[in-house]
Amino acid sequence: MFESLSPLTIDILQSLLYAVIIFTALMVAALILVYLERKVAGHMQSRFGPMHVGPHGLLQSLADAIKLLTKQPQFPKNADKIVFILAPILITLTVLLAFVAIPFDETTIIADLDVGIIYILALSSLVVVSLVSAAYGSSNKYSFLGAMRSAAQMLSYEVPILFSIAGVLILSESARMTAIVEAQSGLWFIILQPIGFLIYFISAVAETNRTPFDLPEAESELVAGYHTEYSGMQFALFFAAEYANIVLVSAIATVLFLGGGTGPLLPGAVWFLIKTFIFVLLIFSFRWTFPRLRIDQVISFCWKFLVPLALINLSLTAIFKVIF
Amino acid sequence: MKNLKSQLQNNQNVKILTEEKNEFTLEIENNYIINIANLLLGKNYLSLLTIVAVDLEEKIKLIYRLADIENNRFINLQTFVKNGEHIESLSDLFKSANWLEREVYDLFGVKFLNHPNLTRILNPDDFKGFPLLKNAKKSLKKSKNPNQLTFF
Amino acid sequence: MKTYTLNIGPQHPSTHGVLRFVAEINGEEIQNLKCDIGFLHRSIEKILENKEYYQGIPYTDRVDYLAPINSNFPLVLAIEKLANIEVPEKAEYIRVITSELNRIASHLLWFGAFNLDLGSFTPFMYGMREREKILSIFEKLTGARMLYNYLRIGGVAKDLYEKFEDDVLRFLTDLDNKLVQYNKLVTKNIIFKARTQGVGKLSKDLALKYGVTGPSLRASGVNYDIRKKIPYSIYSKLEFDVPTYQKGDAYSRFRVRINEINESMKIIRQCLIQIPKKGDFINKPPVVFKVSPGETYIPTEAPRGELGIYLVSDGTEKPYRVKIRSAGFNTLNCLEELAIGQKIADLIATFGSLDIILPEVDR
Repeated sequence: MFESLSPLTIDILQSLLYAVIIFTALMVAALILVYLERKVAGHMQSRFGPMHVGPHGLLQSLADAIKLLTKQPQFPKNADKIVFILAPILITLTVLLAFVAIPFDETTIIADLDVGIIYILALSSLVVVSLVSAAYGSSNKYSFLGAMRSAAQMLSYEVPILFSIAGVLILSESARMTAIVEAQSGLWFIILQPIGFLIYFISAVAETNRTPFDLPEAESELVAGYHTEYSGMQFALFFAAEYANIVLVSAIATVLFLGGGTGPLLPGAVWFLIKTFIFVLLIFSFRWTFPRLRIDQVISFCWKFLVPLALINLSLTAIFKVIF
Repeated sequence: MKNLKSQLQNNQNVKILTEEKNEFTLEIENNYIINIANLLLGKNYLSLLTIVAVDLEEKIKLIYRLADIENNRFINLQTFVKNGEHIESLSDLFKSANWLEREVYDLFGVKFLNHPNLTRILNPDDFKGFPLLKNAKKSLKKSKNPNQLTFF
Repeated sequence: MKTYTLNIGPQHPSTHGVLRFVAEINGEEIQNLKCDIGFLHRSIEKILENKEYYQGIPYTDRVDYLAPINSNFPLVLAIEKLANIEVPEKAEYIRVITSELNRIASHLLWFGAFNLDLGSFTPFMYGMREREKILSIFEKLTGARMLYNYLRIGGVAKDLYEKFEDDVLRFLTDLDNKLVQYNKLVTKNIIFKARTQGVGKLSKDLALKYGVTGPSLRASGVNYDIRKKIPYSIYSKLEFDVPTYQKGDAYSRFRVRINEINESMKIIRQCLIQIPKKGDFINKPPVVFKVSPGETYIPTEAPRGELGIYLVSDGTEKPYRVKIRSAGFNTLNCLEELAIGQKIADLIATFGSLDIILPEVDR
């Protein structure tokens, strides 16, 4: 049946199939991660977490999702409706698009771009745009303040991420994601680039607006976050996008520093999941351990500490590459 | 301590009522309050801990509790304000007098002269009457504000 | 530059109570702060004038609901002084043990709430978990978890139950271990230090001018604890230190309160050794008893500062005037000046570290 269709149609159908798969996978992953975070938080605080809905609370996030879906969408009076509606769609779109270029094992990848990692970085910068437009569309003085802080934070932390990734690029000599995975077949980059890994991980936590860098969306500060005026499905989209972003940065960390989907015995995709999962758990545990930093401390930490360190790391890597 | 005690004994405007080992109770006329406060401030009594007001029907007794916390010495200054009279505010000399005097005004109606912001502090701003006076029931019933809730 | 007015509304995401700040802000710095209080004004002082002496004790529970026994204490002491009632020794020890347990509970809750203000959620759960153990001891002792109505004129309401000493000692050993953990998690945490060191500096001068008392004063360098300087009940027989720090910032206030928990544990242990095994727990006055006319002021050391009661009696069975001097009133007045020049995030940290609760301020 498929032989009669033109190659163009097959391509389009294939892309649609991939899009549906990624979207479903990420939404399901977001549901599971929400439940997991609440359980991890509970056990770290010597309590159980959700136990009531379903056995051991397993259906809790399903119940939350149904509740959010059936809520009536609310629009603030002076809101710019187009921007207000587009913002959550934009953020979900950027995060989903980034997954197109992530290799799940040595060969499985939807789009093996030559500029793989640069493409992903560019998309993660777009997240800032959607945050600021969410706050602008809300026409709420306080969420705008929160979004300004968030924009400053995310833009500043792009720089150390770039420099730490540049160190990896020097070692792998290519920006293709599959090539980066191949270059680690001998030795994982976390051993060759320990400082680069630490810088990347800290900046990635700041990019995802998680504690200790979660001042923009903090509940106990008086200025409420950028997504206060959202309710129902739009809020669910913001929420899911945040968790998908966490998975994204963990996946990038796995590919760049832990060798991607490779490992003995088990198939590559399973190893990929395990490694990503370790990072996700680590990011979760940060939230329940540390207090949050003040915005000026966040920005000065980035510019006065991380960026010089990343530059030193980059120069050392370059020197070693030339010598060896 | 002896220096202060002899100074107070020689002062005509001050009457020593009681004296325990590190606590004096003095009684003064209400127009002498600024002078005695300056005198005590010079003797390191830097803190005004509280102002107690007691309604004695025709007059209101004010008790200022001053403290020299570092040396553990206290002075209770008693003075009387007759109904309708005023007394000077101590907010220039003691910073805590700002809210303490507002509370006395709010609950008893005592007016303090030269206070930076003598407005109600515990009751709503448009409350009429002074609740802690002994004849508060009568004065509150007379108020014509329909929104004012009285639970008497 | 133009300033904008920020209203930090009556509801707060912490257990401080109902308080409204109106702040004029320039960028991120506060130029002017006004506190709007009175939301919790229940006119307890007026109500107590219409109740007989012993009926007023439950009302003082509600003045500082996190440390109710410490709030009962000054009223009961004032009435006993004016009526010349002697309290049996066992009752004195029971009063001190329960009020020190209350002090620990109040400081544990403050520990949790302060960390919640700064953004870390886990210490809140840990503080609540420890406080829960104290509340179950009190439930066995008095029947209530929070507002005990336990002190009576002439003693306490009930005797200690049989396993009280075992329960308390078990709890104290457990808390010793947990405090080591909390110190590692919070006190030595670099982010916590960055948020609290140098923040909200209360100089000794300013604290004395505003009449600030309690742990906030001790963190600014003045070694003043009413239990040592004007000892009441049996505190003169007990040995304990008074932690004092010099810097006066939020970190010092935090450390003062954590050290006070240790000191309270010492006091409780000494009391459990010294308490007489047999004795009355109350010296009951007649049901309708009249207090000789007079007036007195009794200051006590509550977890938040000096809680004092000025009692005026005219010889009848109802007091003529009861004035409650609370520490929060003066401290909140001080915050209006302390906040000038701080950033908004620092205001939250400062306000949390001063440990003010509104029922005490508004009465």
